[in-house]
Amino acid sequence: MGPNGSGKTTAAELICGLQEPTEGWVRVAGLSMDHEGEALAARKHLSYVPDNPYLYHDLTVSDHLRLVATAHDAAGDDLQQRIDRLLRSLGLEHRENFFPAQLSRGMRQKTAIACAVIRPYSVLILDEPTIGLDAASMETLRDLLLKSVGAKRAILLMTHDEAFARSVATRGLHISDGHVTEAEPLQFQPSRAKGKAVPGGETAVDGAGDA
Amino acid sequence: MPRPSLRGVLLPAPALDDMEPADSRAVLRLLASLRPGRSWATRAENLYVVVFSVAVIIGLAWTLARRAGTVFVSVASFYHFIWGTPVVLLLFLVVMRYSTVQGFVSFTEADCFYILPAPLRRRDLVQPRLFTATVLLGIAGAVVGILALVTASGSHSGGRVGKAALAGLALGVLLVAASWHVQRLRWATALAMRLTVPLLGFAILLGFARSGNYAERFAGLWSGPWGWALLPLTSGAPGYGVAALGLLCALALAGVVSMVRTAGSWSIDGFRVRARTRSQVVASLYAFDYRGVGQAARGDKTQNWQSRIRLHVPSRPPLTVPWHGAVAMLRSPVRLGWGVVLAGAGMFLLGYSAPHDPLQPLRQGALWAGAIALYLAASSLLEPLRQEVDTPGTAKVLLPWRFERVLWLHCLLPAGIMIVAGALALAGGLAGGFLTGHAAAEMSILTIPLTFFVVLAAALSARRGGRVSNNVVNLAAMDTTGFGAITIILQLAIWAILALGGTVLGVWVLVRHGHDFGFNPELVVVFATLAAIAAGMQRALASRPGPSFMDRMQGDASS
Repeated sequence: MGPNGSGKTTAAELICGLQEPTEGWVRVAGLSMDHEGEALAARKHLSYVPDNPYLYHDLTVSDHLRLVATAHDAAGDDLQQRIDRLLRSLGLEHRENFFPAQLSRGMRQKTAIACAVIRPYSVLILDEPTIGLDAASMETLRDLLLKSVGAKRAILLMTHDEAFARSVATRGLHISDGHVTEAEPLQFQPSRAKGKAVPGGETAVDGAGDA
Repeated sequence: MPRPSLRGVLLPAPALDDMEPADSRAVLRLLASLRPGRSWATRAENLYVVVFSVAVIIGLAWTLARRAGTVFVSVASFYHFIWGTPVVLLLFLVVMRYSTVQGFVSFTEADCFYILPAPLRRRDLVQPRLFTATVLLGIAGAVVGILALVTASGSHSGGRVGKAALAGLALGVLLVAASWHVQRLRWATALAMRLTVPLLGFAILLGFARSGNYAERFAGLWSGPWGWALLPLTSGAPGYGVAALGLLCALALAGVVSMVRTAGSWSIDGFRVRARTRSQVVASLYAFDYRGVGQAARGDKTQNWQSRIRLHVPSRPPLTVPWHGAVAMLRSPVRLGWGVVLAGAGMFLLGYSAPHDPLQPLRQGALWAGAIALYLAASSLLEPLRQEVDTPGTAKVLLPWRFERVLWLHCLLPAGIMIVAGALALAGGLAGGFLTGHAAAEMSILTIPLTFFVVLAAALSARRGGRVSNNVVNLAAMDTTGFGAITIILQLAIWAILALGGTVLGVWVLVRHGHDFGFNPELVVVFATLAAIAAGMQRALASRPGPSFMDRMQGDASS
């Protein structure tokens, strides 16, 4: 969390390798982002939702998901079912064949979120993911994040929306001028989350998550 | 309403020891299948349209230049001046500068978020693009090499044609390799920017070397790959041609090896910046916003310099606008330097256009070059006004005056700088013996009114902010007589044309008929003409700001 210009997006992009650090280094899951061999493995673990949903103007929503899944070696036989399920959960089931220009800002944002979770990941980084989302979509996003937390995935959420952050995060970092100025434990407890981990990394969702 | 279940949406997390890359070919195949419009036929059609358009434009320009006859008398000599090593060096320079903003390997912004950060082998993404560029430029180079040989010497012998093709091919490959390194290395990008002016100077030197003695021509041809590529085409000393060709091929081979070795070594950041630049340039072109095109292409490469000089804010409100101009100039010393140099050079060339012998004709090349330099100086020094037009809301909120007064106030400082620079250049020209006393005296009389006239015209042009108004675009779109494009060009360039015409006319009348210092009716005509044009400009100033300015104001208000 931090004010405008504090360095949240820069930090996220540095971690994801979208920007080059002028000094220092980045490691993801113990893997260096500086050496191509390790960086390739690190990129398997990292998934990123940018603050501005950059989409291919000439690809539909489902094309995006198919492309991302293929690029991460996750285009198995059940890909279409997973796409359908994910789009239904995000309220995009009737927009499957829409191009970005035909979507609202919030729907484009949801498409970017879908692209981030259609593939395997260990670390999910979200930069202002709630911009443009309606209340129901924010609840779905919250469920998705809780589910990820329940499946032992790390979530790094950059946001202005402190209430949303406090509803999903275990730890808050306040950033200012590129430096962490404060670290605080937040109220949220993963053990009380609606999702719970199951063997093999798959997660079942019950309770309010389905309600 | 119950929300849908998220069961089975997430896949298992990747294993920590999983280092296997995904299948790049599958991704590229999928992308190609999702975009059936990007077939080879479509690309070939696009290429045909581009080549056809360029050929038509070159043909029109050439015809115009030839028909202009005496006015553009120096075109042929200019052509002979740059032909050969200078033109190859300029080609290198153009490709290097292009690579600082784009290059032959490009990705979209979406690619930078979905493809480039994916666990794919990086070299697999870049190599196909480098391969395509190498093949295309190599073939183009070979064709141009053969054409150059046949048109320059008329030779059709197999050996020489083969050498010319190989030289062109090697040059094309070398260009792609150099471009790739400028693209991927930040320091190489900075170096290409910094070397622009020195290389332009070097190209002029090469031009002089071509018309010099044997030793100078020899040095020019051996000074770098731009000369090595031409040595096999020259008829004399075939041994030198083979040696130069060997050097060029070795360099091209080294370029290929370096491309293969570094194809996986790049940052996403560089491709993102270029993708953003491309989007902005395309958007600006569609909006007929030519200033926007320039700004996008410059990107963040022109940074403000923190000047140590602190200028106090003046107590008199009208002086705040020149104060703002002075602060902006100090923060951009390169722009200020160019403005001063161009103003000085312009005034010197106008004085130089007057021959020592009054019976001799005017040096028209110097006259037109001086007028253009003077206009460019004014245009360059008026950058603070252009910034005002870019964000009209700021001027409206911060400044209490009508726009035409703001525009007038913006003219004061550039005019002052240009007058001083012009006077110094005239004095220097007189002291150095380049200008006659008459010419310097006449030009010093004309300096002040001429400078104000040119600055005013440049300011009125800047008022449009390099943009074409929607009305003119609509008019041009509906036009069926073929004058639509001319309307657009006129709207963009009318003040520049007026400034050039007024300058040339003024100098011509004064220099041709003003060789006595008594009462001079021609002098009265010159000042009367300039005053009449300035009065017309004043009336234009009193009207509302440029249409694009109003469009943007409305845009600001609605946003």
